[in-house]
This record gives sequence, C-alpha cells and structure tokens, in this order.
Amino acid sequence: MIFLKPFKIGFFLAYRQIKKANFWVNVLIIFIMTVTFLNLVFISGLLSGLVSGASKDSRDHYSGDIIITPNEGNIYIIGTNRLIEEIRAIPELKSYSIRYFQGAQIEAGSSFFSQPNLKNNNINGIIVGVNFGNENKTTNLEKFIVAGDYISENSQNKVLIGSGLLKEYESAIEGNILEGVRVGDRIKITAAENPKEYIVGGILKSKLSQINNRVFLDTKQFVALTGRSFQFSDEIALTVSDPQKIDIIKDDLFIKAEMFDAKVETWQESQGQFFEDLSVTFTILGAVIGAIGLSVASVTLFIVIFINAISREKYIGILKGIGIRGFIIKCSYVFQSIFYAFIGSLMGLILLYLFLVPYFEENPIDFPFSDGILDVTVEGVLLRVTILFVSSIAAGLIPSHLIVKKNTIDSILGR
Amino acid sequence: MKNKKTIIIAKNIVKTYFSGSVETKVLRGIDLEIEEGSFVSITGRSGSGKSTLLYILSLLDRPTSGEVFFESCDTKKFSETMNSFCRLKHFGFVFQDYALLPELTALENTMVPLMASEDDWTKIEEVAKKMLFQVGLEEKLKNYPSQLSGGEKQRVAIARAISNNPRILFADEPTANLDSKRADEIMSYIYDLHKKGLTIVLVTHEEKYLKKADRIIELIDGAIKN
Repeated sequence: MIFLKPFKIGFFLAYRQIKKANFWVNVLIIFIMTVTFLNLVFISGLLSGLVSGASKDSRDHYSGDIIITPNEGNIYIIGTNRLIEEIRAIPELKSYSIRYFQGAQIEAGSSFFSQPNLKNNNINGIIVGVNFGNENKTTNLEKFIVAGDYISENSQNKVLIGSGLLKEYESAIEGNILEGVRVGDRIKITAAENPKEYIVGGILKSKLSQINNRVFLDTKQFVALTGRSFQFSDEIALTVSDPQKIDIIKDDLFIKAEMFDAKVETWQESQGQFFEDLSVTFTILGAVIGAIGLSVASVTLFIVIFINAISREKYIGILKGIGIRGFIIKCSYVFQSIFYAFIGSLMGLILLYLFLVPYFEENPIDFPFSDGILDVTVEGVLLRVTILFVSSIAAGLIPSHLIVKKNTIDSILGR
Repeated sequence: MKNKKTIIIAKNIVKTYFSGSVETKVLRGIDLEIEEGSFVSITGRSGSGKSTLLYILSLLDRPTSGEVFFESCDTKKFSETMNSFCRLKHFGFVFQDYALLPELTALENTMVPLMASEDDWTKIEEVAKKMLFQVGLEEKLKNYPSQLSGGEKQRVAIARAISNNPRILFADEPTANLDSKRADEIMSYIYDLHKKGLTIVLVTHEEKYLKKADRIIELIDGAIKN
C-alpha cells in the first residue's frame, strides 16, 4: 500500500500536532465546529419543523389520514350512511368521524338566561355536529380541553366551544367574539331560524382554526337543531392502521366515492399547495441560513488553520528541507481540519440527539400557527456532516497549500 | 592516487535578491566541484554568501542564474518533487538552529525522513534508534526538543540528517549556538561521518574546524577568493 504512505505520514504529523497543540485552542476550534454543525442542522430543522409541526397537527387533529369532502359544486356528501358502510369495510380502518357543519348565531347574555355575570352579546360562527366518541378516536379532540370536560354520551345538551370565540382566551381580538362565557354557562345557538339552549361543557384551545373557532355538539343535537338529515354530511375523516397503505386505500375509496359525488384526499392533499409551498420556502430559507453559517465556519476554520500554518511556516519549511513532499504536509493540515470537523460533528450529534431533539419533542416552541418541533432526518444530518467535512477539507488545504508553495529556505529562515 | 567522482558541479552561480528596486547580488558567478567523499569547508565573513551557496548546492534554493549539476543531472530541470526526493534520499542537512520539529520526540524527529523514504515501516524505529545511539542519545529518545540541551538538539539533527544514509551532508554553522565543548563534540561526530566516507560540505567561521577539511573555499563578497 505504497500509495497510502503520504496519508500515513500526514496523519502521523497531524496527530502529533494536535496532541501537542494548546488544549484550549483545540477546545475552541471544536466548539466552533460544534456550533457550526448545530447551526446547520438546528436552523433548517426548526424552520422545517414549523411547517411539519403545523402539518402534523392538521393530520393528527383534523384531517386524519384520509378526508372525504363534497365534490366541487356540491354542498354535502350525499348518502353518508352508504359511504360509511364502504368505509367500514376497509380492513385497515382504525377510526372515522363524520362531521356536519352549519353557520349559526351563538348568543350569551343575562337577559334570557338570568346569568348576571354574562354580558349580552352574540356572534356568528360555525357549529360542528360530531359523534364525540368517534371524533376523539380519530383526532384526539379531548387533548385540547383547557377548561371543563370532554363530552360523554350522557351529556347530550352540552357543547364544546373553541377558545378563539371567547374574549377571555383571545383578548386581542375585537368584534365577533363572546365575552364572559365560562364552563357551565348557558349559551343559545340559533341555526336555520331554530334557537336552542346549551350548556358550555368544555373549552377547546388549539392552533388549528378548525377546532379553535368552532362550537362542537353531538350529531343528534345538531340534526335536531338544524333539521339536517344524517345522510347529508360535510366531512368524513378517517385514520388507518397502516400509514404505508394510505394511497392505496385512498385510490380504492376514490372509486367508491365517485358514486356519492365526494372528493377523497390524503392528509397531504387536503393541506393543499400552500403547505407544500411553505415547506419549500422554509427549506430554502433554512438552506440559505445554513449556507451563511457554513461560510462563516469555513472562513473561521480557514483562518484558524491559516494562522496555525503561518505560525508553523518555519516547520513546514524544515519538513520540506528534509525532503518531505508538499503533498504530505498538505495532508497533515487537511487531517487536522478533518479531525476538528469530526469531533465537532460528533459533539453536535450527541447534543442534537441526546438533548435538543428530545427537549423540543417535550417542549415545542409556541409559534402562533403551530408548535415548532425540531425536524431532523438522518439523511439531512448526514448531508450536513458531509458538507461540513468537504468545507473543512478546503479550509485545511487552501492555507497549507499557500504556505507549502513558498520557497523552502524562505520559510525556514522566516523571510 | 585514485580518481574521485565529482557529485556536485556548480557553474557560474549567481544569486541576486530584490527588495523593491534595490538589487543585492549575494553570489557572483561561483564555479565549484565537490568530489565524493571529500570534506569541503566554506568560510567567509558574515554576509559573504556562504550560507546562500550551501542552500543552492543542497537544492534548498535555486540560483538566479547558473547551473548546479548533481550526478551530472542539471537540477534546473528538477521539479519541486524531484528536489524533495534528492534532499530526502541523497542529502542530509544540519541547520545552525537545529530545525527540529517541536511536537515530535527525538526519536520521532529522526524517524520522519525514514517514514518518507522507506516502504517497510517495521524497521524504521530500529534504524532511528541506531542513529541516535551513534550520537550518544540513547537515554533521550522520548524527549521533546524543549527537553534537550543545544548540543543534544544538534546531535538529534545530525541523526536525522544521516538517517537515510545520504551521499552528502550539508552543515550550516552547526556549532554556532554551542559552547566550545559541545561544539567539539558535534564536530567530532561530523569528522567520524567523513571518515566513514560521507561527503561533507560545512559552512563555518571557526578556524580550528577548517583545518580538518580537504578543501577550504573562502568567499569574499559573493565570490571565491583565489
């Protein structure tokens, strides 16, 4: 393995130099590399996590894996019961929830309920009829209860109200908002010119507007209030046990849904182009910020290696003087750079997977439209490690090349 | 008398340094031949160009004009890699300030040229130790240069210079930084090497060391006297 000899000598020289270098200089360089690595992974991961967090929320707590809505031009999914039979026949079906929507006026106030604490006020909003048991299995709606309790089968006259409709939770919003409503208060909902009183059983708070700005009531109550038939639903969300088969199940359902003039979409499709564009935008933004971070790190490493090489110019000259080829000397500096990049990346990986990822899983950043998690993939991390290595090779090679190409005796004599 | 082979020929060597518009001619047409096994001393006042001549003969530097032939090969045509190869395999160099690598021990300093020249690394350490034993440093193998005295450092430099069994040993005032006892010690190692047949080219001020040379070249203002 004669061709390996220059690398072996380069490695030997690099190892000895690192070993004898000032401990704190080594610590500083490794710290810079670790921060650079985290900058590369963290910023892009956080930006990507913002979108994927919102996307995940939408899937987990609204659309399910597949969502069925009326086809364009239709108001409802017609023949819901028959469609549900088809859905129930899917072997991988985990849960489903049928939703009914209706615009309504929601009123709160002392004049008609003799509740002195309640100010007379009303808003226009959307009421949603659901089977609370099925909805919870499909979207874990109960998770968003911030006051009161989730509604059970036996509390039919109760509703859940989104905090986005309540002044106490959304103090910044003026206008179409209810004031003074608490759990246990009575509210009046008027839909299809039919008024009915309900008790606020619980308050929901979520970053999903489909939860936060709506009032949820039991399907039977909804039908009684609106006079709508069970057959005319607005949405059916379903989850499946095998996420790999979502597309196959969707295609299968698509054919069946043709009969009902309904639109079948996967969770991704239902989120539309906006989410995709947002994701791409944030990915580009992450890449740009990462590239700036990488440039700064490369320049830093370049400067560190360059200063190291300049301060060792005499010794580089001596090595050349005793017959060591320039290539071997350059190898030794590249190995030093790689060492710092390797240890820096390793420290970064340890920090990332042992502390940062678990921390942000447990404590997502509270952004207005989603919970920001750290979206890091193995492929993404490997790509960034590779980028860091390549730039560190350049940062080691260029300065050492500049010194090595100098006249040997000038280097030795410091001329 | 047996004819000795000439291994280095210098023809009309001129070396000029430029500093802006100022031109300083350090060597002015040096012609010189060095025979194998000879002991050549180069002397002269400070600034006479003796070190510059040594650097050019040992391929550490290139002349502004003129030719240096090594084994009849015109070194002007040598690439930097070829120059390195010559310095590694055929030349040993002892610098005035020892020129040891501070992060390497005495043994490792001696091993570096061997690592570059030998394909079989199993015997490198053994050879390097042998070289250091020759200069009496068997107790200091693991010492770093900062843990050695001036004389010991220069002995390591000699061990390193001869580790590849060179054809010529160039020494640039190797005793300049040493007291007279250590200087004599170092010179005795160099005389021993010459006795064993090694060609020596020595730059020195010291009259007493000139006496043992086969040939003394005195430089005055960049030219050979006489």
